[in-house]
Amino acid sequence: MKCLTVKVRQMKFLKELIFPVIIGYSLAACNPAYYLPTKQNVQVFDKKGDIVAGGNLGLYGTIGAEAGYAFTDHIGIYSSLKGFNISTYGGSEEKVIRDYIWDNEFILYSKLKYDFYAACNFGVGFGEFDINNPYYELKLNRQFVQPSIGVTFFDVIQTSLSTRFTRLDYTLNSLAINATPYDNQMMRDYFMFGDLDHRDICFLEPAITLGLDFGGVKTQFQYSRALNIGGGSVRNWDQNLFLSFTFNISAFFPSPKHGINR
Amino acid sequence: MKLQNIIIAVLVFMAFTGCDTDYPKLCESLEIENNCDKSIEVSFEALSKKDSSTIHKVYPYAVDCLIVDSNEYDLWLSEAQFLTIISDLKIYIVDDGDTVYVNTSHYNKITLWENEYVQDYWIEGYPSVNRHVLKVTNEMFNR
Repeated sequence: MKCLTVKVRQMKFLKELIFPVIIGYSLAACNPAYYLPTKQNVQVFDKKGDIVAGGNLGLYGTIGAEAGYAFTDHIGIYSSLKGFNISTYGGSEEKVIRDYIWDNEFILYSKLKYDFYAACNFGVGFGEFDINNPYYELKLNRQFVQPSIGVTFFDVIQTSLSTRFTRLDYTLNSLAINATPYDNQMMRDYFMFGDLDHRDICFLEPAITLGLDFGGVKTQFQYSRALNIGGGSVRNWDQNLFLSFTFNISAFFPSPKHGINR
Repeated sequence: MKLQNIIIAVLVFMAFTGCDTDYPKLCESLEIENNCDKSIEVSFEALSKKDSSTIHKVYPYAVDCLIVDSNEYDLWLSEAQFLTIISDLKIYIVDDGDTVYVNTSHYNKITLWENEYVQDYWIEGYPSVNRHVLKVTNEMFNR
């Protein structure tokens, strides 16, 4: 009797949770999307004069390059270019870069007591989807604020929590000549644009980052989500994973102040 | 094996193998729905070139569905292509030896056809089906 009850529960679990996920994924995997969580830049600077450069890999063919400079012990700038392929049918399964977002950030950061670290990134970015396709031109502008807090253990292990508040603004143009209202509506239906260019779309993107800092070389593993919190809607992937490597170039060329005393 | 399991297996299979194209064509269908109390005849020269028969008989409250040859369009049927295809459409009824035609003004614009875009299907390589439905009623026949 008990065994039967467990089996019924298992079947209920499968029906209510696993099956919808499988069906949802199988249908969604083929369809285009126009937003995804991109890597959040956390704990990037240690001190004034840091010059940082690196790269990252993520799901959906995401690949990125980034670089930054710390003007002072509390202010830095950071630029990161992310390429991926989510905007075509079946695109998320391909490793071809057709979409990109280029972010530029102004970072306020501070190293606190007990190896805590706090920062706030203010960023603007722009991007484009399915570059050079013959049917449409879709551009993205986004603005975001990203507070974060982190802590370092044993001088090497770093962990951070961050949340990005993002506003998206899409611009869509049809490339069809003599397109009628019907043709334009078909383009929207076929590519599943919805009304993404008519509304300001807002996302909340929480992320958790685990990393190892070896001084000049830092590696981070990040999980982030993108939750649509209002404005309008857009087809998007709602989570991503990243592995990144960054190099603090200034650490390889120590200034006399940081050099070895003889 | 239960039907549910078969459906899930097919969907999962499609998820990993069925969407390997960037711009799959839509399936475009033109459907004549006969809401008259008598059979009607549909002559669709443009779509029937490769068919043996150019005239379709549609019984009362039945539907004649014609799939547009995908070589006729790129990803979907544009309005101009749609109008070209229906330009030679003839719908008529043979009643007591008289042939009575539906006036073309009842179907010569795309807005006169009901359009239903069925998304999220993946049927034989088509991501979706775009249906154009014309509902023929007794009032459409000029007598």
